[in-house]
Amino acid sequence: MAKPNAPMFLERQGYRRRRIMDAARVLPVLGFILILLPVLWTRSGGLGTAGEAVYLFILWFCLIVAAALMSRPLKQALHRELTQPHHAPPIPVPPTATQTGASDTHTPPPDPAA
Amino acid sequence: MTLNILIPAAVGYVVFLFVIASMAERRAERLRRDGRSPRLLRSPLVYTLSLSVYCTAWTFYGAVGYAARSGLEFITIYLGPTLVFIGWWWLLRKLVRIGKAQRVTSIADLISARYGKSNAIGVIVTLLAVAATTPYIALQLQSIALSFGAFADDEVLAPRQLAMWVAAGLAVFTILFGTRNLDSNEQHHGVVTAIAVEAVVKLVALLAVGIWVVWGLGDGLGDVMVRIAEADRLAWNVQPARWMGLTFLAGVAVITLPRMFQVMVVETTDERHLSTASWAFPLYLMAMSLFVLPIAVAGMQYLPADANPDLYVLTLPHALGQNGLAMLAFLGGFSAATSMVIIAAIALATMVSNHIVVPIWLAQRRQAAEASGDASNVGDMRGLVLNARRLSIGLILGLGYLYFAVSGGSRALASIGLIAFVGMAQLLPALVGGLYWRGASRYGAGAGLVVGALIWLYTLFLPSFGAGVLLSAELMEHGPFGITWLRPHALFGVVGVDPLLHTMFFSISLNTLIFTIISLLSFPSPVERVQSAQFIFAFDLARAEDIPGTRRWSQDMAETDAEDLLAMSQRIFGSDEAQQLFEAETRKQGKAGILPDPTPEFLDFLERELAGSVGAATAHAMMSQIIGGRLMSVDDLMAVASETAQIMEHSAQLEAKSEELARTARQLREANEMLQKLSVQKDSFLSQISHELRTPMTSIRAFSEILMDDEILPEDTTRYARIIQDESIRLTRLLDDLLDLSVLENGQVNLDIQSGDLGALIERALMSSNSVRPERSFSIQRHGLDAPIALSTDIGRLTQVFINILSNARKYCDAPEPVMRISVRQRRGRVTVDFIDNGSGIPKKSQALIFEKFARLTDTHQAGGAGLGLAICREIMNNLGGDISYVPGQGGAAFRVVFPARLTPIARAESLNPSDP
Repeated sequence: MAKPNAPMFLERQGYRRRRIMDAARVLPVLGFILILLPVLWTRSGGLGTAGEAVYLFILWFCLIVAAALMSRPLKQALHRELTQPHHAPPIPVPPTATQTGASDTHTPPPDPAA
Repeated sequence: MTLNILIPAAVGYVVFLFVIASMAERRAERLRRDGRSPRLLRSPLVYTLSLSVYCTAWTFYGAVGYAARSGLEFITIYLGPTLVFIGWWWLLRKLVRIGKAQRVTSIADLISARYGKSNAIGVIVTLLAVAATTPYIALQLQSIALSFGAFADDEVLAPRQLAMWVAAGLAVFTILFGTRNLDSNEQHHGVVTAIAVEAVVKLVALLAVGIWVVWGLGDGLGDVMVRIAEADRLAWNVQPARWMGLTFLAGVAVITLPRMFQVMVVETTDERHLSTASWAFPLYLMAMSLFVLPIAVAGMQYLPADANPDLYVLTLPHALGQNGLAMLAFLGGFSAATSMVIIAAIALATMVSNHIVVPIWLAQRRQAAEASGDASNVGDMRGLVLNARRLSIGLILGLGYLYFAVSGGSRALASIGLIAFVGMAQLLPALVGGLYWRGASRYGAGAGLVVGALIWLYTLFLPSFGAGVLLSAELMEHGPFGITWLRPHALFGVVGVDPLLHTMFFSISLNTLIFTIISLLSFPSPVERVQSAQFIFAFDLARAEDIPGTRRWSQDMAETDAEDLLAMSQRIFGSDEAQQLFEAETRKQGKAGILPDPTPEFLDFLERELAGSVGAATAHAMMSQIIGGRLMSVDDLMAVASETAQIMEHSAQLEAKSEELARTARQLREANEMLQKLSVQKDSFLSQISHELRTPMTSIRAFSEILMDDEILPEDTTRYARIIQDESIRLTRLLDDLLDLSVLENGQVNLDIQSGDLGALIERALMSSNSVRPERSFSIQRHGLDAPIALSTDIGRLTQVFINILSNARKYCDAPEPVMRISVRQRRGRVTVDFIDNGSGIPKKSQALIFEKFARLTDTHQAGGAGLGLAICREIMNNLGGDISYVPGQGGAAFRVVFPARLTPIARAESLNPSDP
């Protein structure tokens, strides 16, 4: 369902955030394909179990690093989604909230009028 | 080392856990009283560590055994969940969001809530989960029994006895911490903290053994790689089908296993923790798998060939005299097993009590109440629910023990675990279909689940006890009644496939097929349709309760007594908490007292709160019972939906209206600007015309005054009279022009339409214009006048226009050898005549002005014109249905005259009022 009032174009930051979401969706697909590679090797001679183990652990580590790099912007996107009413203009997230771990609580963003 | 040391160690470990859990529980309680949330207890770190309940004794002991038997295949069990977690943005995020929004208490509750709060679905999922978890719990008991057996040189206790004691002990622990209170969001701070501590213990133990194997026993990583290469054998080759199938299966299991759902969705306090777990949990899994292969290879080298590979983690340090390390490994394995059993038992007990015990009890009570005539009296439920859970925990551990006892406890750990995985994977179609497909219906989900579960039971679960125990060897060999197509390991004549893949393929594909077909054919109930919208659009409806289309209680249902609702809530939450809840809602409605108005919003809110304790289906049933048992009808649903649609249409209309207003305002503004411009134009026209009239008038007055003088010479008289006459003629001409212009502008001119030829007309115009500055000779070039062009228009007026243009050229063309090029084209009934001279043309800034009244580019009165010529030309052309324009960039002044060859009244009217629609 298309969101009726969602803007068609986003500013640079919002655009980047969307593309990180896309990357987060692509990552497991890519990972699955790479995990299946040893299946093909075995048929054509292969590296042997030791080589395959090294390959898989390196791949595993790379996937974890990629996920870790994306987790922070995604967490901010999630924070934005959770603390704001729908389609309202974005309120900047106070930097302390994400750095000190205060984001663990559902504190609403500070009222600018207060 | 004997049991004399092991048993105190195990007991001591459990006591340690007990202390941790109760400290955490107490701290959470204290913080709750202070109105704060237990931040440290519920940090992303604790969340990630609690997810490690995925790594059970299967991982701790079984993975090494698996690796010794099948090489790298063990790793698929951890790669599948890795893919699911790094892809959390797809599925887990939605799952957790819905779990929080719907106050889900278990995976059975989630699926039943999605399919219209159907308790039947809840029961099916619960039974399947109990059946699938039983072998899994048996696996843990078996591993603990084996680990005791591996140490104890003296067989004081038989493995079965030992397993029984372990099961009983764990049941007590789980009951103590899992069923202390009935929380409205079904969270167990103490247990989760204990699980997080256990995660650290098992990780440290496995890493310690691994590091000892690689750097103590072996000679670093290079040496270990060589040893692995040496130990490589045929059985270790990757089998493509199993590799792919097991990766998929493990990915599914991490979502559908009841204990994983419990820690991942039910126990979570903040869905943002998922972003941390998305990489931290795969990292934990990788750390757990890192040394599996080296330990397996070392075990194969140092231990006798008949040693159980499932126990290498334990027996390797034990056999080589590392008793401290062996003890750590023992505790690690113990913690891995206990954490799984505790969480699985809590998750299953919640399901059993919410979906089986409470509904049965409610139904019985209802019958009793109908007999006695008091509908609201359903008795105290808190004790009932808690007792049901305690009983369920005992039952589940008992079943696990029974499986262990019957199956003999001798199978490989991993193969037992995979049986459980395939069983729970049956939830996949109903779960994923429910989250992404609106057409998924309860009949489809129920039928798919039953078919998948039956295939799993028949082809994997029952045969897992061994031929001849539950299924006869005869049946295994030849199929029931000799039908070979129904052999448990070769359905439909598919022979020679790995039994696990065989079951997985048939159960999940038939499950999905039947789920899809029946969903396509059935029509969902209204509650189901509301729920499906809430699940599928979980992100679009961030505040679903505000959107009228998703309300589950209609207005007329709200005619109920809040007192009954309070009475019911007190039985579930306890009187204090229920009263607080009602009071807060009353205040929110702006009322005083404790009983709020039973608005649909309040009923929704209350139902969600109840669902957090007893599950969506039971909560819905209880609410319906109080409110009168009337369920929402399709008409209600449509009414609510059309209410929403009306509001939306109304707002669309408002939007259209405001747009129209803005458009009108813009038009008015433009009209106003135009009027102001016209007024300025009129003023300047008046002042110019006065100036033009004044000049000849002044000379006429001056010379007539001289004439009145007596002393004037007769020849002068004639001269002065001529000047006066010339000026009068000029004045008259000016007034004639003005009159002409005004008539033309008003469109009141009478046109004298005649037939004629364009060539002749141009010749006549050339001739007439020769009188202007006759001393200049123009060479004339004609193009396109070879063929006669017949016209039917006001020939006289058109000639006037041509004469004006040609006279202007004679007057203003500044070329030493002036040339006039006249080119004529005719296209689709319109004639275009271009007059182009070779002078310097009209400067760009003046091009827009030349057709305005009194526009004269030079101040000279050389031709005596008043600057009205081109303005008149333009009006004439408009009247003739045509146009005159200046064409820039032709190498001189170029005028283009366009007009219809045959003037019809319609063409004229169009050109006179071009802006009118």
